[in-house]
Amino acid sequence: MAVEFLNQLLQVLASPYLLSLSALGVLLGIVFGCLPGISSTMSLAILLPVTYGMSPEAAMVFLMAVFSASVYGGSISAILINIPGTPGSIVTQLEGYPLARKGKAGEALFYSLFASTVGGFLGLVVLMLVAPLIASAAMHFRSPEFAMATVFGLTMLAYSTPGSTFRGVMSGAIGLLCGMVGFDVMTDVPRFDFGTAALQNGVELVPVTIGLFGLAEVMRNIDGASLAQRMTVTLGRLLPSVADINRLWPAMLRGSAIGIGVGAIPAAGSAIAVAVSYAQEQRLSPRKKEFGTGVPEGIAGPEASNNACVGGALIPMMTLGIPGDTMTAVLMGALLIQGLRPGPQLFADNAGFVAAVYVGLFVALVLTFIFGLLLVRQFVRLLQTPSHVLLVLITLLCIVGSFAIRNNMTDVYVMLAFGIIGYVMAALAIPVAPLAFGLILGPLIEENVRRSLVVSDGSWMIFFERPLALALLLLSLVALLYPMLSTTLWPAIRRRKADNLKTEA
Amino acid sequence: MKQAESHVDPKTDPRNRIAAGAFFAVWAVIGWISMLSNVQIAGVDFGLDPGPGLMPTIVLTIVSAGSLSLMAVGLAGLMKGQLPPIPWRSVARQMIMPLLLVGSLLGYVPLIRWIGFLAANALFASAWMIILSAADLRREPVRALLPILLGTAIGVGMIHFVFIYWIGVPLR
Repeated sequence: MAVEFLNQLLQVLASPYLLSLSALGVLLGIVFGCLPGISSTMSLAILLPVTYGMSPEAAMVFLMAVFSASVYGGSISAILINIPGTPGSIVTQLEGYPLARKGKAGEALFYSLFASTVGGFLGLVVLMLVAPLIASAAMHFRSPEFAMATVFGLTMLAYSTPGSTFRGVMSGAIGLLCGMVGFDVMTDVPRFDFGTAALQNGVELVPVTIGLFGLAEVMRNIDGASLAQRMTVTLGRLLPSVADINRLWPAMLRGSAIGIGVGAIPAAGSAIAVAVSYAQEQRLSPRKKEFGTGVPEGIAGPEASNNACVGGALIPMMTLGIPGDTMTAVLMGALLIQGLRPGPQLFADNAGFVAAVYVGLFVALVLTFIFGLLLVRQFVRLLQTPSHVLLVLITLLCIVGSFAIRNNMTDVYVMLAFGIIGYVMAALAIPVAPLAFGLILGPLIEENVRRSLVVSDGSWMIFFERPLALALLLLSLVALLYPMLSTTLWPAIRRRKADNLKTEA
Repeated sequence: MKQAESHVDPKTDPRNRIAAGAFFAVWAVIGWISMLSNVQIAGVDFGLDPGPGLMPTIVLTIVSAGSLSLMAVGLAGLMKGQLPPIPWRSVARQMIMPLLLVGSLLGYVPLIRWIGFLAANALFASAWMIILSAADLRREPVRALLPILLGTAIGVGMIHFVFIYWIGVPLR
């Protein structure tokens, strides 16, 4: 893999086209990331259509740049105007904004940029080391293991919105149903098409994601659209002392380790990673009581964690075809459009492409650091952009982007329908992300379950007889039952024990 | 809508449970109608393959059972206790803009065919920017007008350049 990585790196560095694509992706990623209301997922969803005409390698170089840079971009608004640009930068504001109010906004931004770069690189290194091992192990998977791994992934993805696992499972089930629309791949029988030709080709993933994560988000925010947030802090000096930076290494390394670990768990996501990292820094810091007043470790740890999550979340997506979060779900859509299905076979058949993904992330991290240092004052100025201008332009991008997939108006109407569905779901407190995951994983689950049943002559015991499939099935059951046990059964047992102790006393 | 019910957690509010259950029930009903009326699924022998009806049946059963249980829990909660009234007026006010946006998009799509992509985009963008900055236009007309003009010109121009000239999307 090291040779392929170097080959691809040289190709990208020698190609002005690929380099400028990466630079453009980084610029757009930082800009979108720093604007409140535009999440990394939304940035990826609305920019995905731009990659239709590109080669798979060029598309991934561009999208990895948007992905990685938008994660850093979120911290700019968190530090300067106390509003996180992305969910992953939610705790950065806790220390970043107070530091900025002390006149050290420039330093806070540097801590965030430096920690993001360190976390991003460590995440990439672990991705490069671990992904081939998992992919190689997954090569021994057969249909029952794949079916159960996908079921486990989908179960975990139902956790993507804490506190609503049941609704997450139901939302995932709706996604599975949407994935079944159109001709069945094994028998060519049309399903859920209601006799219309438009639905016989199935529901395309990209208009669905643009609708759910783009248009629905615009609909939710459009009522509060107003003039730009006024910045009340001054930037000050940009570079802290070397001693100040060196003091942050332990926090950055801890944050990176947390980010990689949490990111690799499907659905855990960067918001959880940064919260864990911040709590950890607060616990270990000798300046515990100063947290909340602008402690640099409270920026560096979570920011390293936030960017390390990128590499972590790519591990299950690249090796098993299970997206780690909503952003990797959109990236997976990009791969599917290019005719590439992530999974162990991708490593065996397209090692060059896998290396292009790594290189795309590597170059994006370097360019994010360079642009973050050189253009910080320009990015700050962008925060003055009125939100209504952005929302209207994003709406237009949603329309054009969904049309551009197949030059087909049906996709525009599908996007509109899922925009409305996403809005209604959010209003009813139903998580939307599992729907997208269900749509991606549905065909995989169905194909592998049916293949397994064909092999076993119709016996469902095949899922219990193979140890790995059984283990994954049990893990899925534990994941499904855990919320119920933790809220009802365990407290009841604890109460009974306490009552018994009281009676004995 | 979430703000309107801020005093009760939406996920535990019985009325929300009933509404969420009804949302899933709609999917289940549409799914079952389509499945049961599909003669190709029911009437064909697929050999060793369990057939294209297996997964839809499993998933629709989960969705149906889930939606019924959500509604049942919601109804039980509704009968149990007093709940604060839903501020329907505020809920309706919050839905005006999103509904207007969807309505305008439904009109915008055919508009592309009639007046062309560039003109439709410019019209849509400027109209919406004016609607959204109506209050700002009254308060600070010059400060509010500049972003509208610049946003429409640069934004629409960029979208046109990237999608029509660069990617070659056939929208004129």
